[in-house]
Amino acid sequence: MKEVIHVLPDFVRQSFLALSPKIMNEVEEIRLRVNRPIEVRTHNNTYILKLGTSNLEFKEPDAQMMMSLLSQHSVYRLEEELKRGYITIPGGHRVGLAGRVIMEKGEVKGIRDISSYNIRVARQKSGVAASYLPHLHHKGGWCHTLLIGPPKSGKTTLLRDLAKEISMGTKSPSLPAKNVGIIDERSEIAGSVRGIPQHEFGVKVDILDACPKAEGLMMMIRSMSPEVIIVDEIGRKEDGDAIMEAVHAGVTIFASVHGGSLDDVKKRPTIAHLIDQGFFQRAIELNVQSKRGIVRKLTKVSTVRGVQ
Amino acid sequence: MKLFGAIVILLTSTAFGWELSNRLGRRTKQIRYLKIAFEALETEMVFGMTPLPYACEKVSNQLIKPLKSLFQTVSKRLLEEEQSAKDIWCTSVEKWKKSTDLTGTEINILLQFGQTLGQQDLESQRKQIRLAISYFNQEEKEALESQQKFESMYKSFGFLGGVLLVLIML
Repeated sequence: MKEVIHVLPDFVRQSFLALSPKIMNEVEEIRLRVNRPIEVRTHNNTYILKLGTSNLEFKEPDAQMMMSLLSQHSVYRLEEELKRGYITIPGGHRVGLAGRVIMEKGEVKGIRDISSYNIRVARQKSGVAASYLPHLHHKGGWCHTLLIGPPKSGKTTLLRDLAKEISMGTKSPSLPAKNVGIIDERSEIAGSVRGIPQHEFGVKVDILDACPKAEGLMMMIRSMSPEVIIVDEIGRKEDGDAIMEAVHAGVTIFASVHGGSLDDVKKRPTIAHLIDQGFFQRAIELNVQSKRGIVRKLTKVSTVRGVQ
Repeated sequence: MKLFGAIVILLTSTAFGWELSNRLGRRTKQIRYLKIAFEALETEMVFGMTPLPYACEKVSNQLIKPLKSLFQTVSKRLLEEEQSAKDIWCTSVEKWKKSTDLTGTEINILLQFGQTLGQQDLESQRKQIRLAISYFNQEEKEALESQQKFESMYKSFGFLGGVLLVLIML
């Protein structure tokens, strides 16, 4: 949280720190919009930051100040980030941006005059993966696994913890540490800042930060000889092709995909193809409400208590 | 006693003339260093992608007095104070200008440059630095000209003025 507090303009920081510790521990988002009250959101509640009895308002100069704080007075360094629309800050937290978009030759060049900030607080939850691990191995190796879940169901959190466990070696099942390659197209899994992961991983992790998945998969295989590759949010046709290549190259794949259930994602041709061809040996379906995940083999179904 | 007084007058006025003419030389030199500083800043910002506080620090390491202190102060204040880079830069320049021989034009260029400091994307930031450098180039030319024109003149005027004063008083 220290890093998040650091990027808030002074007056926001003051009243943010005045929130009760309970809220503080659960904060998921802080939303700042020009000329609007400041919202702090937890999983099920929204709080408005107040000064005394009146709502705090976020003014235009504050928005500029915040940009200065976010960039250390160096917006010129954020070319790529402004193109993508979000900035990853130390601690792996992400700050989403909205404002006036600058186009050049039909492509988004960046965002200027930023009017909305959305700080998404990242929390590393260790141990999320533990209960899944016993179901994800086969004959002394990890299975190719597909994680399926709607947004905010904890796919990325689970992927992150899986990466950590696999790279450190696990006791149950008893498997040695593997070289893990992470293709982190949206800097979400590792939350890298200047290439350095902000979340804790084992020793044997290599990360291609902000790299397109299809290219990244091949680059990783060629350059880092990974045993396990972790990718987020697959979906495009190129991703599917690259995954097939990787599987044929003898690398184990852990991938996540947006979707409500296995049947849902089977409607998407790329994913359906991968599943039908038997590229994935396990699928984990995550459910937002019950906070449980279901691990599916081809036929056998077993329910696992999730720790999300 | 008269002779002693005359010598004192002569010496001070000569020294005054020297100081004026030296100031011209120092101004040219300082503008030249400003150019170097901005080129270094461009390298750090545009190619090195160094955050502004550290870019200023690195630039200050390459400079000599009095330029050094400006970049040093700015770097330090950027790290310590919670103010926009623009405010920090402008207030630092205002304070710093007394210790230099620069004229209002150069100071204005610096202040103008500060308006957008650290708030623009790479391309615009680079243009701003380039713009400042091209202004400094003009100023340097102008400073060099006036240096050549007035340098020896101030020196001899100082001495001659002293002589004149002494003669009048005699």
